[in-house]
Order: sequence, then C-alpha cells, then structure tokens
Amino acid sequence: MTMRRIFRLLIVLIVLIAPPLQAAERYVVRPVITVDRDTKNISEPKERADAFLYEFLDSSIYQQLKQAVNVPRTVKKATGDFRAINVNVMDEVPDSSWYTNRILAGHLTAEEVGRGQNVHPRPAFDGEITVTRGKASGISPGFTVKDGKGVTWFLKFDPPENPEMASAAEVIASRIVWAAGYNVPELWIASFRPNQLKIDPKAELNINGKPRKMTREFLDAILQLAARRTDGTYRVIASRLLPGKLKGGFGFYGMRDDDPNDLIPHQHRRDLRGLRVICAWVNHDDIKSSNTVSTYIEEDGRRFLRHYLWDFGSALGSGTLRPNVHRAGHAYILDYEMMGKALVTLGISQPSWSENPVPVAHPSVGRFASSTFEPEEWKPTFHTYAFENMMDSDAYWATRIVAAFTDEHVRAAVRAGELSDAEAETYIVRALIQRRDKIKQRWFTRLTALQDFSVGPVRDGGQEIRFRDLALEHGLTAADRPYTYQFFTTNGRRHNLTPALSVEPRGVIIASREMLATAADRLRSARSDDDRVIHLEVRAGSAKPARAYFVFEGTERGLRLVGLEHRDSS
Amino acid sequence: MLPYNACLAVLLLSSTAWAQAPPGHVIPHRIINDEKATRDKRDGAFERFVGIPLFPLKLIGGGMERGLVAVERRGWHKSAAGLQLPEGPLRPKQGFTPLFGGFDMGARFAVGVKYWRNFGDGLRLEIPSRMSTNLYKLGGVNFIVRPNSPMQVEFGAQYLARPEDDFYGTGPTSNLFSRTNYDLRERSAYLRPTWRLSRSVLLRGLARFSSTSIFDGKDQDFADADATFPTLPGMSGGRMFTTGGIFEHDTRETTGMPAGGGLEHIAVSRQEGLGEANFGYWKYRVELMRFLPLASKRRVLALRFFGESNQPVAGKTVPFFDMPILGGPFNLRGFREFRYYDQTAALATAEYRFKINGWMAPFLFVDEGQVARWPGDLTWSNFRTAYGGGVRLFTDNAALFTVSLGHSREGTRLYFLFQPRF
Repeated sequence: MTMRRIFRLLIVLIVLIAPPLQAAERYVVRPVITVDRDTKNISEPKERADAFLYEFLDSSIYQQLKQAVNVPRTVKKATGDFRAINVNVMDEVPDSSWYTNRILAGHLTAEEVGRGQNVHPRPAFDGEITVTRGKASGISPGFTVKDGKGVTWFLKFDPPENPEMASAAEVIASRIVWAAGYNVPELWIASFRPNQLKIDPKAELNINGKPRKMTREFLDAILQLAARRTDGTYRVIASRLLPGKLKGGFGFYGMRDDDPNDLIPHQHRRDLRGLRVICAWVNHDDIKSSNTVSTYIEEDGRRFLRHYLWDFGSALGSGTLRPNVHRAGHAYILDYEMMGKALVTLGISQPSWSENPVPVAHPSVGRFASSTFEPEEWKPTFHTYAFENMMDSDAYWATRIVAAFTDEHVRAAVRAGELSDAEAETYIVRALIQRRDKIKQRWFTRLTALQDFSVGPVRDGGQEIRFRDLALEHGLTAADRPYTYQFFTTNGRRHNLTPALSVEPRGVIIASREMLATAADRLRSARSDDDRVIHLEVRAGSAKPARAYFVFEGTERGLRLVGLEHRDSS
Repeated sequence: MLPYNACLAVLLLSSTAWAQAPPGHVIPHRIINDEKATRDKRDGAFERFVGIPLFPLKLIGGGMERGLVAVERRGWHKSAAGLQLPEGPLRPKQGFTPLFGGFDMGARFAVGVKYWRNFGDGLRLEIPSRMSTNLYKLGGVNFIVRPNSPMQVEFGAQYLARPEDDFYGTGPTSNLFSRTNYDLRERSAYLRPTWRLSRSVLLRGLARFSSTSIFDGKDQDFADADATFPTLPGMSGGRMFTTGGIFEHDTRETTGMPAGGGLEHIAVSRQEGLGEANFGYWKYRVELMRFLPLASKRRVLALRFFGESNQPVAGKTVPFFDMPILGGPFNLRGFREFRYYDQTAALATAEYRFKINGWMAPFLFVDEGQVARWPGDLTWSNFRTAYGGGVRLFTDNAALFTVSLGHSREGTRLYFLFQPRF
C-alpha cells in the first residue's frame, strides 16, 4: 500500500472520528424514569439450552474476533462515547425485570441484608424428606427434594475436603448480589440426616445425560461424595424452586429473539456492565450465561420473563469442588494479553499471581484475599461481553452500590453463611471490607464522585447548588482538594457563562447573580426547556468530570435540576 | 489494491454506526423508545456487517452449539479431561467412549470408539477400534482382571494394520532417496500381569504371541520394500513369542505438564521366532525423563533419553519391523517418519516448555539421535540433529495434543500428536 493511499485512509478515519469528538451535544430535557416497563405480556418463549463449552468458544474466540474488527466500538470506547442505554437522566438504572434498586436506594438494614432474598420460610427438614430427582453429571452431585410441607428444594453439598466452603460462599455472595439489586433464588443453609431421606417411586437420577431410576444405592453413592459432619448430618445449600418456567440463561450479549420486551442489547445494559464490579468484589469469577436464568412468570395478569443470577458456588474463595485456582479473578481461562506477554518473552514474563500464589486461608474459606485484589484488573473466567463494555460511569454506578454496604451490612451477609469457625467468618468479613474499600478508592477518585444535587432558592448572592462528594465522605480524598467548575450552554457549540472557577469542597457551588443574568441574556429567545438548559461541569482534581443539567427559569426562580451525568471522557 | 479498498470499505460502512442517533430517547412509559429499539433489533446495523466474514464460523457454531450441549450432558468433556465420577454405583457399568487422534507412527488423524463394560469390581472388558484417514487400523479385545487393584492381569488380542510404513534401509547412513514402503498386518494375543508396588513404582510382565505379515505398501509413489530389500530379515513377516518384564518408576508430579520429578522406564524382553521365522533376540529398552522447573513451575526444562538395543542370539536375526525407529513426531522431529531403522537406537531430547495459560504451553526443542547395528557402533559423528518448536495442550491429568515444527538437514516438517507420552 503506497504512502498516498495510507494518507487517504487516515483522512477518511479522521473525518469520521472528528464530528463525534468535537460536537457539543444539545441536551434534551426528559422525565426521570424510575421504572423501565419491560414486563409487557408476551407469549411463552422457547427454553434455551446452555452449553458452557459453546459459550467458552463463542465468547473467547468468535466474539473476540468480532471485537477486534469492530472499529466503531473501539473508537467509541476510547473517546468515551459508549454510554449504557438503560440509564435515566439522573445517571441511575431504573427498576426492571433485571434489576431493582435496593441498597442503593438506602432502604436496607443489616438484618434485611442478612435475610436477603428469602421471603418464604426455611426448608422444613425436621421430618421426612422425599427425594424426587438426582443429578450426578460430571462430578458435582445434588438432588431435588420435597420437604415436610411439600415445598421443592434443590440441594447441593460441600466437597469433603472443604466443608462449608461452597455453601457459605453461595449464600454470602447471593445475599450481597440480592442487596445490590439483582434477582437471585432463595437460598438457605440447611441440614439433615441420611435416614430422613425417602425416595419417591418416580424419582430418576441423571448420570451423564442418561436417566436412571433412583435407588438407595445411588443416593448413598451421592452422599459419599459430600462433606459429612461429625454428628452424621449433612450440611446443604437448599435452593427454592424459582417461580415460573425456566427458559435458560440470558447471556451477556445480544437480545433474546423471542422476547419482545428484550430491546436493549445486554452488552449495553448498565446493570450487566456494572455487575463486573459486584462480581469482582465477591470474586464471583464463574459468571457466565449458564449461571443465569430467565423464568417465564405471571404477575398482575401479565406473563413475561424475569432474569436471575444463580449458582454462586464459585464466589469468594470457593471453586465449588475445591478452593479457587490461582488464576481465579486474575485472568481469563483464555487470556490473550497474558498469553501474548508470556509468548513474546518466551515464558520469562509470568503473571505475579502464579509466581506468588495466594494460599488457602482456611478450608472453609478457600483462596480469597484482598492483598492481591486490583478492582480494575479483575477478570472472570470467561470473556463476558457486557463486562468488556463497562465504562467508568458504569463502574462508578456499581461502586456506589458497593459503597452503600456498611461494615454491618457485610457482617450480616457473611453471618448468613453460617460458618462454624468464627475465624473463617472474621477473615471473610475483613477481606470483603478491604476489597470494598479498594473499589471505592478506584472509582470514586477516577470520576468526580458527586451525587444528590439539589438547588436552593435564589438569594442576594445567587443560588446555592448543593451536592454530596462521595470521595470526601468515604475519606478517599483530602478535605481541602478544590473543585473546578464552569457553567455553559450548548446549541451545537459550547457557550461559556462563566470562566473556569475553583471552589473549596464544602458541597456547595454558587450560581451567582451575574451568571444568572448572563444566562437570561443568552437564553432570552429560548422557546422550550430544551433551549434553556445550563450545564454545570465540575471536576475534582484530574478526575473525569460530573455534569449537572439545569433548566433556567429566570433570574428570580433560577435553576431547576433536570439531569446528572458522570462523564466517561475528560 | 485489495487491502486498501477493503480498509476503505470498512471505514465508510462503519460510518453508518456512528451516524446512528444516540440511544435513549425516552418516552414516558419506557426507558427506551420501543419503536426505534424494535427496529434496531431487527436491522442490526454494523454488528451484522462485522459478522459477515465470520458468518461461516457462526454457521458452524450453530451446529457446534447443539453438539457441545450433547457432549456436556453426557460428560464426555470431563472424561476427556480425565475427570470421572469415582468408582461406585454412579459410574456407569458400560458405555462407549469416543477415541480421537493418531495411535501409532504413520497413522494420521484417527477416530474410533471403545466399548467398555465392568463386570462387578473384578473384571473389565474393553473393545477399542480406531481407523485413521490413511487407513491405519487398530482394534482388539482386552480383559482386565481386578482393574482397580494394585495387582491386575490383562489379557486379550489385537489387530494392527499399517498399510504404508516407510523404509529407507537400516543404518545411520540410509539414503533418503531409497524410500520404499510396506504394508504390515499384525495379529497378537497377550497376557500382561501388572503389580503396582506403590504410587510411583510399577512392575509388569509380558507374554505375547504375534503373527506379522508384510505386503506391498499401499503408497504407489514409492517402491515396495521387499523389492528393494528382499533379503532383509523379517521381509516375509513371521511369528514370534515374546516374554519380558518392565520396571517403571514414575515421580512426575502431573502427567499433563509435569514441572518436577521424572520417569524411569526399563524393559527387557526375549523374542523367539516360531515356525520358519529365524528370529531370536533380546530387546533392552530404557527411557528416562526428567523435568526441571526453571525458577518457576511455569517454565520447565524437560529432558528425555531413549535407548533401545536388540541383541540377536547366535544364528538368529532381528526382524526389521521390530527394530527401533527414529524420525517422526515421537522422536527426532524434523526428519520423516520411519527415517532410520536399526537394531540399536539412542535419542536425547531437551525441551524448554513455558506455560502461557493453564492448559497451553509452547516449547522449543532439540533432538539428537542415531541408530546403529550394535551399541558399540554409536559414534558422536553419526548423531542427527533436529530442532524446532511447538505448542502443547494439556490438562492436569493428561497431555492432550502437541503440534510441533521440526527442522533438520533433511528439511522442515510439521507434526500433530495426540496424547504425547513425553
């Protein structure tokens, strides 16, 4: 290719990139949506089969190839023009069939976090328990039972070498994920004696895909694979059957063709992008499509899909059947960056987590630490498209969720794991708190962490604009670090109403009388609210700015808050 | 011209993605404009365009998805990775296991199936069969008495067909241009008692009857071996009875990608021709492996020595088809398969392996090997050198596959090897 042709290509590229970079977009005033009504009545979708082998190949090879040639995506991400779609004007995620604002809305006590998603009574395992189905595929056994009250539960066990590890991890992580706002099944720690088990005459056992009639011999063989307490009882995770019909995993890319409510590509949902931070916090590295499920339910006369996360047995230090491998949380199972470095250096460059592996802290904790945790570097086992699309604004939103968990909330969640060893419980609490603090440090300082803007009445000196600085509240920044801020309007081009000003962080910015007068003059021919929008851009140090949007209602009434955004570009 | 136009097309077409209206135009009842979003869902914009060159992969992927769901439901992937339910009622008593990969030198990619059945804890039957793309075949019936016990006995019968093995003559100076080929058919019956003394030490005995027939090779591009080497011992085939023993000491920490320990394998056997076959010799075989971590278990220096010598007793001969062979993916990579035959062979390999993830390790190697009639005939000057590199795929419990590129004075060759031993 000659130099002239290369030059022409570069010109085309610049011409294509330049407009998005330079445009000062006009702000459109919209109502604040707090509920995304994606629960319209739909006809019953088909059940999707989940194959983690296929998902591995698809996400690790095919999707990576597509991303490599997707030039617009790469440029948009680099320039910060890659916002999630399901974000309202206040930079929040509305409630939907995917997500519910819980701890972020400030409504949860520690006790509620500890109880979590469980709304029904715990399993009635005092008397006879009827086994209705067994599973012995691969090496992770379990079975489905009906308790004394006829309620159906799915039981999973701990591995014999690590009692309590997987069950505690599953409950603790599910409490946290539920409190964070996601839908999860009801999970209880329960126990029973083998002699309580009775086999339903129609019960079958699935062994490597083949159904066999369940017998006492099979039941005993399954129990042989599980951890047993010294008193002869078995500790289990009891998962209550989800309401509705299971329709398979929802995936982190694309949309379901047979769900007319599913109109937002999953890789552009903030609740799924930001889930990366939640998963990093609890080290749920086994997040993948087959650990999600959509159920077809009926509510208020409408039938629709509700979307759940499940199977947290690989969270915290647990790898379900054994402690987490060293790689967990540090690298993908097919990690091109790590592989490339090792290949180019002929093996001399090896990841630090392999050279200095985290030891198993405790048999019921597994491999879980805060010392090696880097929030931004955390990776799940599989490439997850939505996670790879996560922008700083998505991470900031998720960090607010994480930061909303006080130490008491964390203790309550960990207590739900019913660990018998107080030392193990203390270890997990400490590690979670330290990991939480690292997450806050990362994203409350990467962006200007201002929230809860409000405006006061116009007085002689001007109008007060109040806000909370989360970085300051959480002790992540010096109390005397100033903000720089500027008011401006846009109409295709940016018109500054004030110079860039600096103010000390008292949580107040003043919209001065002079600024209001300038705005009145500039906006006198405005015909609608969209034409009267004033932007306030605030930057804390070198962090990415926050922008608040106000409608100017005259020099006497001043500004009315209509929007907030945390920018992904500087 | 084509790369330039292609780049231009990608950029211009991708501009449609940038030209899309920003998302999230809100109407009161929904966070998203349903009408526009439904249209976008149907039309797909740049995503579809980007998917076009990868569409064949997606088509294959559709079929793969169904196949992989089936594999996963049956647990075949876990069986392949060496993960199985423990012995007991949960383990099926019989079944079929698919077999993939080459099974012998000369065989290309092979597929097959193994039927197995457990008769309680005391007896296991296996009936494997495999055929390669170049029609090499291996089939048999194998019984294992007390398969889970430290002392077990195997007996059975086997049929092997190798229709186009190459032969260049014997000795270190065999001529590359004297390539011939032959068709070998072997039927055998055997008895193999095994005593596992400990986790790392194993003793095995062997009593085996074999009947080997040599025919004209199926590769018409080359002469038949018996036409070029008619007087070579074994060219008419023959029957033999073999007795012997094996001592093995295996201290490798894993078999997939060992980063410590080693393997010592010593085998001694006596072969006696039956009927008209004038065979009679002692076979001595030594294989030593050592795995040395280099400041990390992710970097390993793997060393191997292989030596075999066949010593005919007075007046008897060693058939050419039972001589050690150098050349090919198993040893002396960089040379053609079956390149060097003789009664004695020695091979040393040094391989530097480094992990790039938990199941893939590239490697660089040097192979030095030679053949000779007698051990005393081995000289420094006759060593043949091959070097190169490749990639190894493995799990904790098994080495799955290697692809290697080897170079020697006779050229450069690419090898694929399933379940490599080293």
